[in-house]
Amino acid sequence: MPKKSRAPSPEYDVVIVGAGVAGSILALELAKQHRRVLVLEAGRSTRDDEDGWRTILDTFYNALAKVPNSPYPPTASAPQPDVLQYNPITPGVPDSAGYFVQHGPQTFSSDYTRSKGGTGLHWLGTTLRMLPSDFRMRSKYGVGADWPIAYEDLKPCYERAEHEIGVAGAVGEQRLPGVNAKRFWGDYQFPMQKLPDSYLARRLAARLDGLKVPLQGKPFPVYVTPTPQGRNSTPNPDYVNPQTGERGFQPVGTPGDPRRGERCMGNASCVPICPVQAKYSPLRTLHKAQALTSEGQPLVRLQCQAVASRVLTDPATGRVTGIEYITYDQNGGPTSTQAVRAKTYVVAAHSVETAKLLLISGLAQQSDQLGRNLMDHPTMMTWGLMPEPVWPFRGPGSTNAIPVFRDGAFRSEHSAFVVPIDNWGWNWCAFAPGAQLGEWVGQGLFGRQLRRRVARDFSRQICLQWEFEQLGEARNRVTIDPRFRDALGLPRPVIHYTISDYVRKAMAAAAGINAAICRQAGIQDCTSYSPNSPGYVEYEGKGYVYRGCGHLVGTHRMGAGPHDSVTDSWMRCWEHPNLYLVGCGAMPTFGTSNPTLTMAALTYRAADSILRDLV
Amino acid sequence: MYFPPETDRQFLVVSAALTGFGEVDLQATGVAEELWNTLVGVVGSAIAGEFLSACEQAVRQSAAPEELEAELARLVIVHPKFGPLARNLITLWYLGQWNALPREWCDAYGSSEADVARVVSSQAYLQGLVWPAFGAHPMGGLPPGFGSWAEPPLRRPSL
Repeated sequence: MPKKSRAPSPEYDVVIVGAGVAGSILALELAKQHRRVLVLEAGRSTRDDEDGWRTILDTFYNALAKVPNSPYPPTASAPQPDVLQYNPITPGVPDSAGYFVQHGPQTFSSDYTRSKGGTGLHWLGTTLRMLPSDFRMRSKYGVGADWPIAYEDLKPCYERAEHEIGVAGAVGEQRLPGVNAKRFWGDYQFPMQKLPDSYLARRLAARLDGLKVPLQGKPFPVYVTPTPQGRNSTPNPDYVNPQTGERGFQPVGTPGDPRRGERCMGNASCVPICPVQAKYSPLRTLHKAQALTSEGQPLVRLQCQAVASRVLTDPATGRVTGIEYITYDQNGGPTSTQAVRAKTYVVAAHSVETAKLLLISGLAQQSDQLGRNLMDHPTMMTWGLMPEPVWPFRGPGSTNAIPVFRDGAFRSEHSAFVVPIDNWGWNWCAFAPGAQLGEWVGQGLFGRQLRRRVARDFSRQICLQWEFEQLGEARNRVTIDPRFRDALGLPRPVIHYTISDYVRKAMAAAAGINAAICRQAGIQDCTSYSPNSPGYVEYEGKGYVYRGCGHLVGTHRMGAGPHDSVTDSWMRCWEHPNLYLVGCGAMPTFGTSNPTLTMAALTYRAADSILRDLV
Repeated sequence: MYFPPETDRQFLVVSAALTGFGEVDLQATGVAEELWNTLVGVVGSAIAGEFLSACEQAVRQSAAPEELEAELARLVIVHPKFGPLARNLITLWYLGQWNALPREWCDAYGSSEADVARVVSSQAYLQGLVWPAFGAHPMGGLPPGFGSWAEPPLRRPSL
């Protein structure tokens, strides 16, 4: 059939760019209200039926480096960053070897995924709500930015997001610093009971009992709590959906197969792939959205391999008049360009891609904040050997964390941090088990001696992740540069990134706390930081290494007015009243919470506003 | 590739000595033939056969396990031709992964375009010995079930 690239586009109520967490939830919420929606996804149509998922799983099994994007390779037309692409940056020489063009001075070492389902395909599943203080960093601690809304404004949206994601957790066991639990939770309970604490975390918690460490002159008790998670556990019979009043919860696993994935089976591979889909992914929400019909016609149309290339506007009014996008057949195959019209437009393409698309289109730039304030959770790891076997590499990536450093007066001086206890030994920090095994075999170990060494060492491996809050800074930003383009001719993201002393000071404090933890728990500390690592930074003469955490936030921040923010608190562009930018990029700060849950909550807020606009 | 019963038996005996696992454990993985073929696919059947014979000689000369280990170390592990093959075979069994042979080895005995680092197959990965060696299961496969992580593994090694 001949291509009709100039054919009149169908009228949609809303066009959404991006089929990740935000795009999927939006599509569902809009279709529930009988709105007609087109979702444009740049990447492939990820297959999630059991057979299709198996092929993705095989890609993962056969990957030498089982990094977050390993099951989800990019297409030539929709390239993506990958953690294997990162190198130390030589001053003055941008590193353009990967998808990003990096100016440094520090390496931005996080990735994301351009496929149906987005980066939500390989998120870990940690669902920490932000703390009330996190929304008021400027007024409370004199640093960062205030949100235009408070925790209380977002609380009902958190509850809706936790229902859609299916959060398992124990409200009563959360001991959040600086938080009035009654006000924070109300009489709320999570949809599912908490996932069992790992044996490893339980042993560490027992050994840390009673430990207090000083921070900025104040003693902090080091306690361990279970982490709420978006993965299937036992349904909570006492759960009441705060929005509908319905009691109970029905988990969903593998699409079309009620026998698989209704509960986590302990595959120990949440990042990058849950083999039974017991971990929430946006594909679940897309299924529901695509099942909704009006007069026999589906309300949501999803088009994959469709790369949004420009947002079109009426210069007189600033209103968006269409989205131009490029479709491609196969890897690098023939392309065609078309445009689609709707009443309201949403870009929910990930922090970096959303900023990139708006920069290409020359829109939303009045405040000069677009693309700026790029944040992550720079993550420093410490690792060692426990004095007893704790049997790691089992269960979800992390079931427990040390939450006490998530808030405190010290935040006027340095970052807050959360410390997940890693259940997978030295897998992330030191490439276990392959790296150590290779070392021992290289030293000539074999036979029973090798087997004994594997048993003794790997059974005692422990790793703590120190995830540091990063504040929005104007210099940390995404830009574009016409000299650097992808296969479709679209500009690639250009990144400037600095780890400030605000973070480095916290790294030094964390190293001290880690030493106290190791002493108390009898852990043989094996941590070492190489000056050759892309994440190597120094503070007061000592070296530390951070990794990217995949938490890319802040590039189209919301705010109180058009002078200092890209959107209002509903995520509507100040300059373009029918254009919404939805995703982690909307957050002015994000404390120590993995951002997916807050992004999902924000999506409900945006959906309410979009529906009001459409009336 | 042809995997005659005699080679199968030899390969299991030698693999058991090199990995510290029993022949029955290795047979139960179902990937022995695939791993042998990987080795042969890179170095050819002549060198692979020589390697197997050298290992088997150590096995034949030893009664007790300690003796066998000393003989293997002497005849195979430090041997310039067989040592790297032994290390690669151990990695094949433990991780399901082939590592590129050292440059010096290739200079001396010939290089092959099949000699690239790779995971041999999904099954070879899933059956990797490293996991059961410390009471775990391969990441992303053979899951032990809901909540199993809250207690020590049912099948755990003596330490």
